[in-house]
Amino acid sequence: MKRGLTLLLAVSALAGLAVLAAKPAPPKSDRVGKFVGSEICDDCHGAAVQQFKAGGHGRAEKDSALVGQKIGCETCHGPASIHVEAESGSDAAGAPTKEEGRASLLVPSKLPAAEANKACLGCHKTGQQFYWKQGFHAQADVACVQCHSIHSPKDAGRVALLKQASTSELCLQCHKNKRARMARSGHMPITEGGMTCVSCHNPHGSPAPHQLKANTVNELCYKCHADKRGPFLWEHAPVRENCMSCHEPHGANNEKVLAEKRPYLCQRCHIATRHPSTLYDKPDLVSNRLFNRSCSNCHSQVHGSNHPAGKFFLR
Amino acid sequence: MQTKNVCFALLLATVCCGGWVAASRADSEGDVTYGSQWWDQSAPEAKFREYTDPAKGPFLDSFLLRQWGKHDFFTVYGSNPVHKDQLVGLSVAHGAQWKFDLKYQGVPHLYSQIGRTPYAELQPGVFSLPDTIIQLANQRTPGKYPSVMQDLINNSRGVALDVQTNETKARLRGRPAEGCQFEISGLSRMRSGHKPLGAPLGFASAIELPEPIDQRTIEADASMTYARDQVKIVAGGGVSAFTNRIKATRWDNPKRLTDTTYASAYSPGDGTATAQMSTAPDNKMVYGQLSLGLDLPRDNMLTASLYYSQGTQDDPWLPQTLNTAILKATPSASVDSLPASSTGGKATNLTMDTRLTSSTVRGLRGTLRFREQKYDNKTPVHEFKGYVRMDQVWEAIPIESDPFGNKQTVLGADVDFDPMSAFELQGGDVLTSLHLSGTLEHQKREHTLREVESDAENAYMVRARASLFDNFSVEGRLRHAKRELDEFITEDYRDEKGVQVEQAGLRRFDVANRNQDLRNLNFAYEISDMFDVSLGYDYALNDYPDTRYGVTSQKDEQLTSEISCHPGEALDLVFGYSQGWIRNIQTSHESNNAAPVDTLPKNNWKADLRDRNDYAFLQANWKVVPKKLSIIADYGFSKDVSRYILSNGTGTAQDVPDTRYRRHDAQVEGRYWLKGDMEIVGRLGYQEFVAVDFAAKDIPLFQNGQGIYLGSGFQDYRVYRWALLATQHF
Repeated sequence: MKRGLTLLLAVSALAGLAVLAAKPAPPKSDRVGKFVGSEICDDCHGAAVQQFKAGGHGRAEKDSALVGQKIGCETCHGPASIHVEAESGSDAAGAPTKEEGRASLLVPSKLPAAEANKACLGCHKTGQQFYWKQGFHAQADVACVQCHSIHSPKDAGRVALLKQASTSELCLQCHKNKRARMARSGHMPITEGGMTCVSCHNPHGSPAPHQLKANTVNELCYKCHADKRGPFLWEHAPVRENCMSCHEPHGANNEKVLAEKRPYLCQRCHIATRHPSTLYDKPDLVSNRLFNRSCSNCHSQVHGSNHPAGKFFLR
Repeated sequence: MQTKNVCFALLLATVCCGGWVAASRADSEGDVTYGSQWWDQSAPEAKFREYTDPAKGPFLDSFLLRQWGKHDFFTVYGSNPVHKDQLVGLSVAHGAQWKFDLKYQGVPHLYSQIGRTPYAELQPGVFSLPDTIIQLANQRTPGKYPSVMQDLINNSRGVALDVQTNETKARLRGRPAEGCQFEISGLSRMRSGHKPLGAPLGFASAIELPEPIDQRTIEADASMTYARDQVKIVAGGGVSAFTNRIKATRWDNPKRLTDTTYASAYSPGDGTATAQMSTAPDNKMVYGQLSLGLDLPRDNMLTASLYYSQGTQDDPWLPQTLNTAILKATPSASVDSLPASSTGGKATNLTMDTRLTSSTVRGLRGTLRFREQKYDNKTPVHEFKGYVRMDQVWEAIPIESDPFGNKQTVLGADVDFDPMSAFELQGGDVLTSLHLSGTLEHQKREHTLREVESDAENAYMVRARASLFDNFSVEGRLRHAKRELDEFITEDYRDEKGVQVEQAGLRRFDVANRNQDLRNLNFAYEISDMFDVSLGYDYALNDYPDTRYGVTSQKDEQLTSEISCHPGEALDLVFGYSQGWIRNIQTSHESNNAAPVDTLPKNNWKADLRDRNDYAFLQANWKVVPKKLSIIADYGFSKDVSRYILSNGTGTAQDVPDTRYRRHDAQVEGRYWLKGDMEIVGRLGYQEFVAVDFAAKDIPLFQNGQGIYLGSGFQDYRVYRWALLATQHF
């Protein structure tokens, strides 16, 4: 209760600070631009237009009727007439200056995230982006163009139009703590490129916890580890409940990304009579309960067994 | 699918599709990087190539070709083709009407290059020892067993311990009409190789075998999307089938030629002549999903999704044992009379998720969410009259299977408040943006057949993020959750006669009462155009206040820092350093006799397990001569240390030695632009790995005259590598 009250006071203080420190927004310019078409952009921005045409947006441009709107440079950058007029070198009275022309264009990377994303979400509202509005990245004001580049993508095949060659490298720019975890001696093949962050997470949002690409942690793991899916004759309760009971998917000090070294990992739960409860300490270094794969030297079927004699995961 | 087939298919597709697109007067671009690479490793340690297959000699590093015509598009790309870690993909499209993607990826997993086994694998999964050796060792001169086996093992064959996963994905997407999209996809994942498997024949006779892996997963998936005006609907379904071509692992007992029984399972393993173990059974899953999204008036949005899957597994059971002596010595009705011939496994997963997001009030956004996920394990309970322990002895103890299931229901509310937007304010000189967020969440869980059948957790989270002076941002988050179980079923820790078989004070951490605190604090400061600094701190504490035995506390902290330096257009430097600490405390009680469990305080023991992780990296990108010569350097260092601090009631506990893993990895790449569109690339690399681990280093192949291991432990190594490449852009 006391903690809650403190938090409430802190939040109120921050809100108050915002009101005090801020000032009213200035009025906006009333000059209104018109759409002029993409063809004229090619004259000066040839390379950018080429990249646009080579990618998915170029494909959409060919079938405007199917995607519901005409796709071109101005779909994202807004009406370009003021910019074109300014760059044409007209000295006529009242003609916009080059600065005014540039300012009249929308540059998604310089806009607040919510505004920048409007252009993208106009078309990308289903599929991967179905849950965008309810996802963590939308809540954190992440703009689409922070990860995607329409004009200079670097991902293999330029399929996802990413700003980096590797998806994981892109994610780690913000999720810096994960970079260190993935460098631990026990890790999945993320830094090596065998999988990426988006193998498990959907950065565009998902109804599952942690924006997972499957309904539960286990269903996600079974996508690659279908051999663990079962159902088995003999089940291991924490395994069936959550793979992360024992594994740290982002990296750990132990092989198989185990959260703890065996036998201590197993002894977190197993302290019944005889060897599960034994303290394996220094004098036991040569014991097959401590050495090599420890408990799994014998109990190798810990993910479940389908053998009639597999109750203790020995068969 | 073999690499040759993939290369052939890729070449054929490139010629056909590329020609087809080119025929429509196409533009194109791309690049290809090729050259030669050499590396030298000081010891055959698997870590260097754990998940990669670096080329030795001439190789194709990467390629990309994009063509686009009036309406048709074609892309083919890849990296390290023909190698185990290759990635190749192609994409063909016709405007926005349809697009076909095909991707093939190999992921190697190398466990060890020094594993050895005395067993011969006669056919996949069948491991045999030479009869003459076993006869000599066991029946003629049993006393010579250790020396005979040691000789055999010393002269045993090397065994490849690696698994290769090859994945082929195909996807066709199309738009038959405005607002309407379909997607059909298929996947084949093949995994093959060998990995270490523990196959015991007695408590002291742990035998390790190279388990053959030959598995395949096939998936097919189809979905349809309709999005028009304020409504979007996605409906889809699919099937996933897992097939294991190795149905059992069978292996000779090195101590016996003929079957016998052994009165105690604590024997050294001279029971059965041949033992058998089941492998991962074939299984199938079918699933369907329906999602609905409604854009409601005044910037409100409602989404609802329903997911249902059904998994089945019905592989025939193996017999209790191959040991004929047990069948003779025990009434056959007991051993042979299995309650069924297969598990008849069936489990369903039903998930419902509903979210209402509202942004009706300017600057204020809220989400109400409800989610229920039920894993209903409908596998029948099978009752057995007993079981055969490690193929040595029939234990006439009735046992029954436990088809565990679970269910989670989550009700949550999130609020995000942006006062600047709410009051239409523009940032002042100090505060430029501010967001305040809060979450309340209630979670109820049910666990079928567990000692705790239901528990509930209440959590709150507050978060604030602000930008100050346009160059400084700060974000803090605090989450507190309290989980309480409804009822602890004490009978679950007693056998059918009421004897205490589990410590009454044990609370397994996944269902125990828990207080959880998560805290994050992040700063980012753009000191000038030349310097950026960021600092982050993460803290997670799981405290189990009512746990007497089991995990009592888990703490995980991490400090992350990064400095970016851009002294000019020509140079970019990024340096990062991170330090992590994990501390787990668990308590236990030594109880070496049969049930009931011992409760003497002197037999209590405690493990204080501490990890410390250091990680540093440096990335430099120096354009020595702009558009002519550039140098890219990468260095990474990691050190992972674990400590095992043990104590007990008698004060005799001795810590096991610390484990340490240390790695340096450095690479320098120079790129020089020749005339035209060609770059010459030179790479130099160095990697060093040092491991200190009592359990995974210098593993003997034959331990204490009984255990037979593969010896697949870690070794220290250094690798020097260099490469000379050319990149041609076109």
